[in-house]
Amino acid sequence: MELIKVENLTKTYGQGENQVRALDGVSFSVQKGEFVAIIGPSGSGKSTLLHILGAVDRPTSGKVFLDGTDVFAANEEELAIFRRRQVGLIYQFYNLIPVLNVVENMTLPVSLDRRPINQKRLDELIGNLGLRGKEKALPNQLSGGQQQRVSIGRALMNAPAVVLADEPTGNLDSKNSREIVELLRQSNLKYGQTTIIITHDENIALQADRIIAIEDGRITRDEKVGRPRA
Amino acid sequence: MNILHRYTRSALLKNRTRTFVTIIGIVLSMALLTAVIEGAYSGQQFLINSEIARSGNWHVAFYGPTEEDIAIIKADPDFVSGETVHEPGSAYETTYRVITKWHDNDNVTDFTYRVLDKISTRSFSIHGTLLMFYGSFGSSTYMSALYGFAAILMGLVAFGSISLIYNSFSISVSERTRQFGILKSIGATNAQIRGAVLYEALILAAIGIPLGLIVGCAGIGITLFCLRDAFAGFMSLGADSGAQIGLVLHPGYLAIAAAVCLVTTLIAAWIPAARAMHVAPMAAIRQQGDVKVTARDVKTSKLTEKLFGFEGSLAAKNFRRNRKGYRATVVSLFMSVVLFISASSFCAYLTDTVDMANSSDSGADLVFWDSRNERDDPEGLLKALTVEGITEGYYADRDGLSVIISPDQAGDSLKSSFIWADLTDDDGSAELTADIAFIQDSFFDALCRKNGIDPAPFYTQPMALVNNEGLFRQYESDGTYRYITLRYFRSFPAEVETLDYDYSGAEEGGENFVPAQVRRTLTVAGELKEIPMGLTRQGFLMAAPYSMMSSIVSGQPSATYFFFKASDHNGAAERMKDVLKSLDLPSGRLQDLMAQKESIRMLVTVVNVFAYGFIILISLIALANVFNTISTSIALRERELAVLLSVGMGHRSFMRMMNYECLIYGFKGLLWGIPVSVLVTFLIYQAAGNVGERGFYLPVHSVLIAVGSVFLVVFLTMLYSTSKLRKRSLVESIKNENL
Repeated sequence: MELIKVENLTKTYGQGENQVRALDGVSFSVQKGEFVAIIGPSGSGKSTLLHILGAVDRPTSGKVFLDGTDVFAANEEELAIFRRRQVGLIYQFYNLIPVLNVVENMTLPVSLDRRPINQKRLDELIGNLGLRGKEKALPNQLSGGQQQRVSIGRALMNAPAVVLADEPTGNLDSKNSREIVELLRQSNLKYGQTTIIITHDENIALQADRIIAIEDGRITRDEKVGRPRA
Repeated sequence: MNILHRYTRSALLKNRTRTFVTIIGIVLSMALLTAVIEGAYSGQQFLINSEIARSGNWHVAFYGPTEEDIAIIKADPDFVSGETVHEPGSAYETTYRVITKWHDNDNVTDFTYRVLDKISTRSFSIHGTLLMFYGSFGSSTYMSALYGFAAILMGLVAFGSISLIYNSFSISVSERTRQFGILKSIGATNAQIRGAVLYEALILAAIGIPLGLIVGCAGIGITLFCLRDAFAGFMSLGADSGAQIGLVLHPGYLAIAAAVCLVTTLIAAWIPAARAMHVAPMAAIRQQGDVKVTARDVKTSKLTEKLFGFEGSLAAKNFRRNRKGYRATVVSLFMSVVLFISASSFCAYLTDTVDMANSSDSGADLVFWDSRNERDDPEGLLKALTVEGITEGYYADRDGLSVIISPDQAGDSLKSSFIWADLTDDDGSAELTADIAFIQDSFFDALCRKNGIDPAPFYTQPMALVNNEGLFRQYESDGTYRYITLRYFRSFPAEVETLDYDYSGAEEGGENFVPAQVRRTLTVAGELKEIPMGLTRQGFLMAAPYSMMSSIVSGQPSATYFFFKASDHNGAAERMKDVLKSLDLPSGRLQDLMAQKESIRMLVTVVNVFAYGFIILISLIALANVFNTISTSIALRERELAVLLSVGMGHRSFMRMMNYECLIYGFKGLLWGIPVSVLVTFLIYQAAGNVGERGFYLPVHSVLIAVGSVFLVVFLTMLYSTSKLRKRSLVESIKNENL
């Protein structure tokens, strides 16, 4: 079933001569359970697209529908709730809150939602992410790879409709990179977690079900990838 | 031009607010230092000039010296100048006044004794008061207290300004740690980076210090100019003395103040720079040196979370993560609170003291006393002195008289007081000394009628009225005192025995004269509910008609008092002085009490002005400090705050978290500030020691203002900083590596 529908998305910055069209009439849709990789050169607009999908940025024009609902018809408070519950964002620079420990960082969206923490899910995630024993550690006591895992944990904790990852391995060595992508794959396969990941790395892109290429704010390629399923 | 210097200047221009706040800090500090130093110096000069105007410019005076004596004095190496004066009426023909090259008591004394050894006259006098004003205190605790006070003020200013300037530079450096890292990674040495920071310090100091100097001198100059009359009044000099308080510049002291400020600025710039130097370039670029929190640092209790929610515990954690920075802010708030409330208390207790002193007298505006001698026409003199501007006047003679009160006559409060215990005879009666005023007959009649008493009987027998609610100072063991009220007589009329002495045979009797004891009876007929002007409720006051004086006391008092109320006390005083001159009477005996009260009130105003002015300036420093810390901590956390928003923290939730942080600042500042303020107020209360029935109290309105201001400042800063944050888009903040 169709989870996300993007209609004629446009985003422009600046004015007059200096105006930049980051996105120029982008349209596509994503099915539930898909693992999509978005690739493209620097400045192509892929990050902008991801941020709009995560409701962290507003489009200049165009619409985004999640599960049939017009995302940007909501007001600020509703968007905040949307971000909490429906979206899991993973960045290149982990972006953990320095004063919170691993568990607190992972459960941040749930705490903000004032909902009780699903201990079973938390425990499972910690196990899967290889963070056992580090629950009370602060970010500055973790390695880069560990921090990124916590990020992933934070994204997955609320079982969001879609996980958006912006170059999640950009800051990691090859071993950690492989592991991170593997984690995302597992979550996609096991839980049917819809995932959209931006990457430079062709290898990682080939791990996805589908590759969308963006250049100068427009989609230039959108094809399914046949890849071995484990 | 050094590239680093250019970079420093552009950094200063780019971050206008920070630069502005730092310069303001330097200006304020310099201004305060200048104001305190110049104020003290000008004050000292004024005291010196006043004393010189009052009794001449000399250090030692030798009385009745011979010509040889004077030559010997002149020959002494310490001698600077001398003059011979003739004081009519003094015991000596001539007095030789000397100015030495010293200004202190010890050296002048040495000179004096050295000279005395050689000269013939043995009479001398050292001008202790003048030397004291020059700074040699000897045994004077008064002046040393004053100078000690000024020193404390300067210490406070230095403390406040150092903390502000240090704070500013500390923040500016930590913001630029990343840039320093990049610079170092492309080859800048530590020395070059240090140079950049010091260059920044010098620029800011070059702007701030001269400005501060001007502001400080202008401020204190204007203040002194406005208050010059008050100061002159305080010294009871009048317009013809010539000594006015004014701004006296002392370049030497000002240079020292500027140097202190400069050194402060340089040190304040140096320390954070030195800290940044020890971070490796890469770490600086990654800004890893910034948040070194441990789990213990950010531990918050479950109670916090339960009471204030997730936002509250996040706020608490944020507060704890950068202990040092936040401590500086809390200390600033604490200092401001303490200073403000203490100054308020000080002014309140001071005003009370003055009011107390004023209320114990009943409001005569002008007083003249005339010694009796040959003149015996008080009526005529009273008429002559009732000039334009006088609304009411009377005269009275005052004398002392021992009054014996028996226990059944005495009021309960009198009997249970310490006075009764001291003065009781064997038969249980007490002998008190009354202050009896013999009031001009016509005025006495009016007084009786005002008190609802028939005056007629007072002229046929010895009869008096009494102020039955006497005010007494009761001294405690620690030297403080408070006022108590005693009722002398239980009921009226009371017939008492009086006792005084007859000195009328003194001149003929010679050395073996013994005054005769005279006992009489006196009827105390009633109470004086309203005290006539010029007389006081303090002590044991009685009143009788002027014409009955000889039936109540022996002999005649040596002075007659004339009391006046005026609608225009200045004008009336001038005219009365003219009248006195025409009658060949000393005009110096005319006292303008109104003027004295006014000048005391003015002095209190002056103290208030200085106290509050000083406090406001220090508070501005604290404010700048608070603004600096909070706005920077928010700016540095921009990325982190953006993450919170991106992960789904709602706007209301976000503001709640920031507001909680504000509250923590405010509460910590007040938590320390209020108790210390109470303590300081208590110390002031002890020092004041004389506030009647009021006892210890805290100026509540000041406390409320302090509390309100603390929270206002913190919240406003928070609002300003977060509004700046919201102007940037969320995405920019998260992705921006240039933070």
